[in-house]
Amino acid sequence: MTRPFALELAPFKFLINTSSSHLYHQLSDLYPSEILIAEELNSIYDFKVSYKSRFWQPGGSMAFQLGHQHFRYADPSQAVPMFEWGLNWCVATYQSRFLCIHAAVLEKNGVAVILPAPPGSGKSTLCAMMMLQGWRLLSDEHCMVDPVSGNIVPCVRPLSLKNNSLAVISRLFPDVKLFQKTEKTHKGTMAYLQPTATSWQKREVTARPRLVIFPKFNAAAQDLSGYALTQSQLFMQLAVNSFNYSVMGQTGFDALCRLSSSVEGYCFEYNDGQLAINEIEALLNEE
Amino acid sequence: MKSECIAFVRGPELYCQNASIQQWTAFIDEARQYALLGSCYFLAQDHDVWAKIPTAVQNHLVSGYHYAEKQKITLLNELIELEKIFTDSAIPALLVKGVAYRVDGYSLARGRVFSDIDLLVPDSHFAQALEKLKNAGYLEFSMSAYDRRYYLRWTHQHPPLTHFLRGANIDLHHHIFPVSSRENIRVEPIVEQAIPLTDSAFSVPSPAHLFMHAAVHLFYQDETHKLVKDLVDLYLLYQEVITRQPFSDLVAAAQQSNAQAAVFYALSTLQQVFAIQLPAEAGQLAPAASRYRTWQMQFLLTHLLDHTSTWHRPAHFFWFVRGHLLKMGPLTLLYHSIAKSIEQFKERRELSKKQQQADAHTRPGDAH
Repeated sequence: MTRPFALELAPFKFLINTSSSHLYHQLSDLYPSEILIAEELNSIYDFKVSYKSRFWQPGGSMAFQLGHQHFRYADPSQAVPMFEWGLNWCVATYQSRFLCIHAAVLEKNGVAVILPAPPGSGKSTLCAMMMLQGWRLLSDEHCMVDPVSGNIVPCVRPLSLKNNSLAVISRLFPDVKLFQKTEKTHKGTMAYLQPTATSWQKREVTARPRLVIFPKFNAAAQDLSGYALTQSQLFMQLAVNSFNYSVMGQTGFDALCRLSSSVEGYCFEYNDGQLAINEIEALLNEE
Repeated sequence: MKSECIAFVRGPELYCQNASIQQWTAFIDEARQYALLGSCYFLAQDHDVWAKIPTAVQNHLVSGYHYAEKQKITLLNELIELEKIFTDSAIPALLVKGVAYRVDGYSLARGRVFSDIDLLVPDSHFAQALEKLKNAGYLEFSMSAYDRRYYLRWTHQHPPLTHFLRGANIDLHHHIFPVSSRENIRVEPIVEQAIPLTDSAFSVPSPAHLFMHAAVHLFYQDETHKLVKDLVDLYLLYQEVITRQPFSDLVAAAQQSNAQAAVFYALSTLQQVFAIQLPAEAGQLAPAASRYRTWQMQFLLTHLLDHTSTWHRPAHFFWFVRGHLLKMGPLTLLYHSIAKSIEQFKERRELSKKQQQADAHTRPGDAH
């Protein structure tokens, strides 16, 4: 039996009990050594995860569980992606301290840009491009709004890329390494990008939201087109993309009102992510 | 006593003063598992210990608070719908368990999570109530023929009803104990002494009857996955009930309903787990209880709540068998065990087929 280990992430810390002797080593590709550590006696862990193989499951499948709650079984060859999805599931399902929107968040010069988008719109690709051009990554998945301060709380984790975006990133940034590439998962081929050093270092530094962009990559589009959203449109679009808006009641409503009245919202459609990034920077420099 | 939640509920001040870092980790994990985060949030406020709780723990208590508040709104909305169904009918319908705590203003209802709405309608009007609910869209969903027959033949309630649009679950009870058991707990006094709610088609049981119901529920419990929550509920309920009605009413209620044994076991459990002081009148219930059962319950609970004990795992099994034996007697239990094993084997096969199908339909961007 392997020893439990911890992921000292922010704002939530995880304690992992696993039967896999490889998992710790595999995760060291994705997490720096100050985050992936042995169990700390001075840390309160938010989520105690069990990730163990079940002898009655064919092929030694591993069950990802939080307490008695079962998430999914994973084939050992897909242990890493399922583990990462499992952590996402913990945060998306079991916390409502922060309003959590399914969106990427990046920061430059103290202001944050939120990129919510339905699946397949190119959100992760755009997010990776921005991070690799010097933006600080707050999250590629969970935009956490603090209802008390109105700020965005970072939730820094390895950036997950799927299918076509792997080739796009490799072509644009040939020196960048993709880790733990896993094929034939139920979402296709997955691989992970390490957050930049400054993203990890500032993992507890919140940022003030300024822009919300709903990106849509379309190879057949003419350059870049877009339109501004009204405050009410923006509110509704953010609510639809939220994991826990319906749970948070009045607190969630107030937080979302505050957010949607303090930012500008746009929908972008483009055939080249760089055009979207240029436009975002132009919008931020306008004022 | 190794349950962190029970230790917290027993004395929030003391717990917050002495809890180690590892205990707080275990507390979050356990409170989430037993859906006690919301209840602990309110207890922390009531006992004025909020500031002594580490921020990481506060975050999860706040999450629990939000979840429970959302459920409260869902519940009150569903009650508005139920009022429409039962208004102007002569059906004596009682809201029981968690819903009753909520609508009758018990403070233990704050932050408490529930999974269904429990209604009690006596046999005389049961068929009529069932028909009204079905006509209003509360239907039976996906239950095997065996499970359905199990409910109808052996339990004290109808198979769960689910509203076809809103998904709200209703447990319609005709008794508060399984009809297949040898006990004969009378439900009539609960109905006769029920307290009508203002401007409502519903009533709620008297405080003493609410406690008796919770006691019977615990005594016949065969599951362990909610045990800590049930014990916390029972303790908080007891504390409020004895401020609303004299203790002698608890004894009288138990005697009228023939539930002395269950109430006695519940009180001695509270004494064992939460160190409550029992009034002398509690002794009047003792003759109805068996020494063996009292010992058995205490022994099993001690080990169920102590996950370091070597008896911890066996205790789950014995608790399961004990609960079932009390509900149905040995022969019925044997029959039920065999039938249920076959059922579960079939279900498991069905479930793995479903995950494969779901995987085949997953799109690359789906959230999880």
